Amino acid sequence: MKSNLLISHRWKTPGWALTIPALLTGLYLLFVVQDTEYLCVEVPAWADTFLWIDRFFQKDGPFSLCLLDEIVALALLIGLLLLAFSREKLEDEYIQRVRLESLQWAILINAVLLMLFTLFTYGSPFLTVMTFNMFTPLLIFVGRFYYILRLKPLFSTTN
Amino acid sequence: MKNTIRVDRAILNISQAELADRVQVTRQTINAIELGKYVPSAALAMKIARVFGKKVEEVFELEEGD
Repeated sequence: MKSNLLISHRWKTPGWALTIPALLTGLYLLFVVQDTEYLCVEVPAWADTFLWIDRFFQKDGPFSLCLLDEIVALALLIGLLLLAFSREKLEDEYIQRVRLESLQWAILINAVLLMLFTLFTYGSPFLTVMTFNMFTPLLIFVGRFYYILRLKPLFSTTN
Repeated sequence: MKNTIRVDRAILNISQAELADRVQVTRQTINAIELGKYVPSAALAMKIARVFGKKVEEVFELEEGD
């Protein structure tokens, strides 16, 4: 019953502490502010050699890079990874099965949603779909895993 | 698979949490087994039966379709 890819249970708290603010900030930027041009820095033209920069609006540099969305996206990914890969206090065989099932659910739901949005989304809104799609596999996994282990037993206790 | 864990627990007068503690799993696992949502591994089934002082077949029983 050894699961090698899992990290210590202690990472749960930092996981939640990163995920929740990052998720809220991300949704706020995407839907309320509808702008991510914050924390902008100027980088010299030669930065182009190791950064992938859109040259359409900024032909020759120095380039202006806005870092808030990068920070939010990285915080959300790291937070979700910590939640998904940290061990439960007592990682027993049932929890391992819930883990596997949640992964299967996440991949399946993600693919079905992506197919639907591919069919029903045209033009630039598809960029929003792709933005969500960066996080949905981990989000669905974490949501389903904690729902089964923490929330569902609250509704169906037989003791 | 059917099991008699709830009845056996009642006889011993122990809670799900106590049984879970004795066989070193979570309470959710015992709950899922009692509800028939999860079939335990052979090792866990034997540990549970041992708590009740019974043989595995006396606690766990195959159902039609198993």
